[in-house]
Amino acid sequence: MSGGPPTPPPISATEIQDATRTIVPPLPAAAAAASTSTSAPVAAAAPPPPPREDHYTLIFPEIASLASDKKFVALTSLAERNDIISEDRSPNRLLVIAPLVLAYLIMDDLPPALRALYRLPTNLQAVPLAKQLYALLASTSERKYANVYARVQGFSELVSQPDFYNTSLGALLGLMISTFLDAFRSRTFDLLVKAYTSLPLALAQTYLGLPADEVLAVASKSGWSYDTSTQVLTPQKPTQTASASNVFSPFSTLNTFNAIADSVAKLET
Amino acid sequence: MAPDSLSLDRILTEITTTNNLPALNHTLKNGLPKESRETILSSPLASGQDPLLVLDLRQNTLGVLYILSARLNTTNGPVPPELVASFCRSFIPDQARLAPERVSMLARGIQKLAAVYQNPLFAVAPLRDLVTRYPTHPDALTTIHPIFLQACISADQLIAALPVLSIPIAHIIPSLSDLTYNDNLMYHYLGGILFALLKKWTEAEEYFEICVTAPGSAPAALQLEALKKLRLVQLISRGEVLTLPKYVHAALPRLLKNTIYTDLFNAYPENAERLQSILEKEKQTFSTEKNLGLVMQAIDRAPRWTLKKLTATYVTLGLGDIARAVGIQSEDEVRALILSMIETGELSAQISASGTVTFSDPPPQFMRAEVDAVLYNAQAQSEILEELDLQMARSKDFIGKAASKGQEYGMQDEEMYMAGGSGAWAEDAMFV
Repeated sequence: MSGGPPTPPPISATEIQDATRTIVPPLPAAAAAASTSTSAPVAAAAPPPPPREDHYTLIFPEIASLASDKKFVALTSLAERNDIISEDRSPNRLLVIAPLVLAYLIMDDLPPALRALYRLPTNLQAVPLAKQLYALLASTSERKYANVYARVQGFSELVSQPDFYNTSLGALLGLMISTFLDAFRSRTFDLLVKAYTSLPLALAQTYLGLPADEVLAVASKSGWSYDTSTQVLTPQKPTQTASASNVFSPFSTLNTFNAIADSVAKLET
Repeated sequence: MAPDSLSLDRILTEITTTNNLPALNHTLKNGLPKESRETILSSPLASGQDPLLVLDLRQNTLGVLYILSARLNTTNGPVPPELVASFCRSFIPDQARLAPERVSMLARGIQKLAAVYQNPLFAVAPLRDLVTRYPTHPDALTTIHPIFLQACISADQLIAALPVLSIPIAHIIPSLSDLTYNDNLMYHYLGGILFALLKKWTEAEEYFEICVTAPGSAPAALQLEALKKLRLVQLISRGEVLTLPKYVHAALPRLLKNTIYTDLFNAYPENAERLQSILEKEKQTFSTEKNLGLVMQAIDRAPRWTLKKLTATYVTLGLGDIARAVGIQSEDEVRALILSMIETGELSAQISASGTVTFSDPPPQFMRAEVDAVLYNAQAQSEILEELDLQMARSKDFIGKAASKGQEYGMQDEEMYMAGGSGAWAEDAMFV
């Protein structure tokens, strides 16, 4: 039971990029020409070899497929199973861990997400991707709404950079962070309906991470009312549906009869 | 070396040719000299070959089990890790159950191998396969269970343990595993820790309580540690400590009473200053006992329990009043706290734009299907208890004790009868 997370050591941007790079940089054209002994015309620098194949690169397509189908429970199960088989320090491990953490974030199941990040070796904990995931997780866990949206923005920018170390992973994470944003906003919106009888527009903007006009559009769509003079929103409460157990059903069902018959039979044995 | 190799060659021949597995087990267990058994089993063949590469990992489960467990526990030669994983995936459980002590050795050996590789993750998959495939019932405790949990916690692979922990232990089968009293304590203690790491407080509380309430002639040190964690988990999840069950060893609460934790429990949750001073003063002790994280979480959550107590007295309160009552400076922090409590279902309240909080009773949130599920679960548990009760009543020890008690009470009844009954009988006799 540790009191807090480990603090990654400061590393320069170049060192961080080198740690995540799995592609061997192409040789310069002159060196490539000098190394050939044929009379073939000097070609442009050879394309970089594909990333080193390992267990993580082989499982990644399935993870990506589950993410695009929004099957996050299956994704976490697959990723957890496959994080206990292979090599520990490979940078390709982020192909499994990063989607795993985001899937947990989407499902709002945060403790396993934190354990997954803690499992990373120190070389991988120090890379910007892991650090940003950790920061997003911390803000989400503490429900620091303003920070969540800022970190989502920063994360999206990171994974969409042209020199992000794996473009497929970057594309997948971009999709997943967008799903997380929608899920988080939706949960927050439902919470506001439950918790507030009325709230100032500025506060709603902070909670939802949207500008005023978008907040008003969303609120209006959900039946909220808005007082322009006081700039106060009044959520529309959901209609009180009686719980199933309180609903009087004039007819019993066959399932109920079966259940009662089974229970009585057990009492008699 | 030559005599050992010859012996191992002979053993290998017997492993691959015999149809009588109990006899093979007897040979492997008793046929070799005790002082050199492990050395012989972990040595190569006369030809220099590795016997593990000659044997079929599945068909020759019993032989491979003996050799592999010996190899993992001696320093005779490295064991290919993929071979260990492959064996655990494919062994025949019925063969392995002939040698439960070797299965325990294998589990401990896998743990040691992971330590040698400095890769705790390595042990998780093979141990998971062992613990799910070896027992005859999924709810039967074995020596593998606590070792598996230890591996999961060391490797931070907590999710891998959840399917095993989700099945409560209901059977102790002595012939299945060379269990000791400590295995039960350790399994439930580690289970509690694992659930606490995942912030599943209800399950953590249950597992720690099972450890604390395990019967014994004297409380174990592990039970005292489990009791400390149980209390801290209760503070985190309930805001108060609950009375221990009556069947807890009487000395255990007294042992806890003499520790610093009592001051913490008594000050919780209102006395925030006192809680902080205890934390500062005893930080080293909490850290040494690996409770610092739980203590800090409990203290972090103290304001919400203070707030919850306000709902017993007030229907509405302003954010400022609540802030003063719970000892938080900022109204924004109080607002965030209330929102968090509403989100987790710990509080039923609504906030208005003016900062007034109105508390209400939580609406019932159960569905018909949930009620039915609870009923079926209760019926299933009742059946299990009835079966356990019958098993206990059939046991030799119980019948012997009941008979001796019965004789004792029977004599007492006769004495009472002789002492007090004569008057009544005398009256009856008059009417005959």
